[in-house]
Amino acid sequence: MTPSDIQSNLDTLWIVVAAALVFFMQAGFAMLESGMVRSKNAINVIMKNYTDMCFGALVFWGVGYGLMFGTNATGWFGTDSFMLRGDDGNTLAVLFFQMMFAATAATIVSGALAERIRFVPYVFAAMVITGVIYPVFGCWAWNDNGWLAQRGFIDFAGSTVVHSIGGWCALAGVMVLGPRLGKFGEDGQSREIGGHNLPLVAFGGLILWMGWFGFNAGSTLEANSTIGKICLNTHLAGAAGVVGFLMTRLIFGGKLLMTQTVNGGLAGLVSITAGCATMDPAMAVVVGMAAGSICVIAMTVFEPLQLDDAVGAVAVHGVCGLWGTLAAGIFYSGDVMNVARIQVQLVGIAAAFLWAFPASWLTFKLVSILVDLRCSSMDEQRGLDYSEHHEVGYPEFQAQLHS
Amino acid sequence: MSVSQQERSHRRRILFGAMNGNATPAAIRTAISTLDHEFGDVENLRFNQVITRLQQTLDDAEINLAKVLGNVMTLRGLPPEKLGPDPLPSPQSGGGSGQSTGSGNHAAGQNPSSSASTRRGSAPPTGMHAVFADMLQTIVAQLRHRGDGSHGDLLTAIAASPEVAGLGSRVVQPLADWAGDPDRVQFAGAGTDEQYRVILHVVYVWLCGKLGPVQADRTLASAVRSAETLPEAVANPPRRLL
Repeated sequence: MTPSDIQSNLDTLWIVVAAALVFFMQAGFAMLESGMVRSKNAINVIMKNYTDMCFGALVFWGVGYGLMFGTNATGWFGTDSFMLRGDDGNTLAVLFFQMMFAATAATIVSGALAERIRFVPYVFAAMVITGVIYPVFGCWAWNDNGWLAQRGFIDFAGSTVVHSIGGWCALAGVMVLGPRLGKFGEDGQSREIGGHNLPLVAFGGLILWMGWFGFNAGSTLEANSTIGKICLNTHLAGAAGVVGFLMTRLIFGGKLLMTQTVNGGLAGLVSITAGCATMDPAMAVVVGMAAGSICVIAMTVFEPLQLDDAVGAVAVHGVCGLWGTLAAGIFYSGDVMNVARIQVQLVGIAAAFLWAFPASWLTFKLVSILVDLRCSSMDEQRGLDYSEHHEVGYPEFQAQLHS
Repeated sequence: MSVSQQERSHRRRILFGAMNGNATPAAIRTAISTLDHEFGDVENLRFNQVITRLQQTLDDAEINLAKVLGNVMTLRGLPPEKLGPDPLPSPQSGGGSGQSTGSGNHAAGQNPSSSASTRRGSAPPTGMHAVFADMLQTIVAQLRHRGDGSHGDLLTAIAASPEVAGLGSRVVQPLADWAGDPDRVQFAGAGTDEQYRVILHVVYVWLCGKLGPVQADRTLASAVRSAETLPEAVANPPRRLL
């Protein structure tokens, strides 16, 4: 076995390990999102996480990967590699890794729409996201011949490709669905709808954090020494996100909520995803800390607009993904504040929004025309665990529901 | 030396009068039962002890303890003839009525042993009708604790609801009668489970708009808990109406 073979095997091994870490993020999302909703909707949230990953895997293998990484003559989408097969272990490992990314983009949407979207229409929308919306933009940014990639767009592990795309799809879903029953009072004031299991939220946040090391460092697609810097930057930005969130709250007033502290950490992690390989650690701290503050501001801005995002996904993934992508251009190691690069980043950010938001809005709208996208108010009263799945998460409190 | 039946009755009348309108039906039943079973043999009863015990066993949403305590202080000083009736029938007069503090055929502010004399309307509801009536009464009692007139708004909203209006006269008229004076009029509807489900859903939607979804869930859950203490709930689970 030559040194080259050993390196190739190590690369494949690293990609698979990283993919497993990213897969485990699904558990983090499931815990975080289910803990943040009322007990009567916990099973529904878990079901959405579980199934969007499964349907998403099949759709991404069948269609998405080809659109994203297939031969790309136009710069807009790939035209082969659908239902990829063969013996090239490394390529199949990359498909496996990217499949986990696609599932992550869809899962981001799930949390935002919690407690009022019906299950089957959601799964359909998630398939469109993983099969078309995510891979088409992914092609632009990550396919070697993608029009954004050709311009030098930097998004190393997907602040925009994964997180902003997921966030903008979530925003479209939130707008089409409308708020949960009673979320906003007659005077327009937002009402807190607390989660039923906050320790689960914290645990989910920590699992996501751990998975992020695979998410970012695995994006090297090879086992080399850069993964040390990437992991360090990732951790520093996540930690700085929490600190930034808390400092913002302390300076400007407001409650130091644990759920939002977790979101502050996620905001930092989302924001460093684009530039984790191309930034110095000190800059990662700056980017993460700013993300913690931006997350607070974004959530504050969304509330008066009566956008009911059950878990803050739009602020954390959409807005902080945007910030992270911009920051990757601003704080590029050894070439800080390069205006040309920043312009390319801005084009990429705008393209992501202009593609993902209308496409997903149209998807949700079409689904809502064809079938009931939103559950009835009676189902909201009973909880989606019962109305969608006939299986309640906490039967000792809801024992008679099946009668 | 044991406490006389007359003294026990006197204590019940004080506590019932104090809680009337300041606690849910289930809380009143619990309180009367606690008074009888835990403090029945205490010769020099201090109501503070009873209130402290209730504080440990009841949720804040179920009872306004400050008001109850204040009322107890007032009622204790009144002569017996100024007090309201005993919520429990005495062994001599009420043995055959079939009602007790646990019977559930009463609501907040209503003496279960004297419903015929103080309430207008037909016989007390039975079965699922009783369960439904108890749930409605509990919700209204909880809103009344807020002291902002929201219970009146709810009753108006129920009466004005098109969903409720379409349910038929066997439900709508008794409901309107009850909503007009829920403290004095017995709900005498003969609706189906589905019709009661519609009414409770209208109530839930109104509660969501008024108090927010979390408080609406709590209020509905509290109504279920109250109704679950009724004997009728064994055969007619209140959750079937949700």
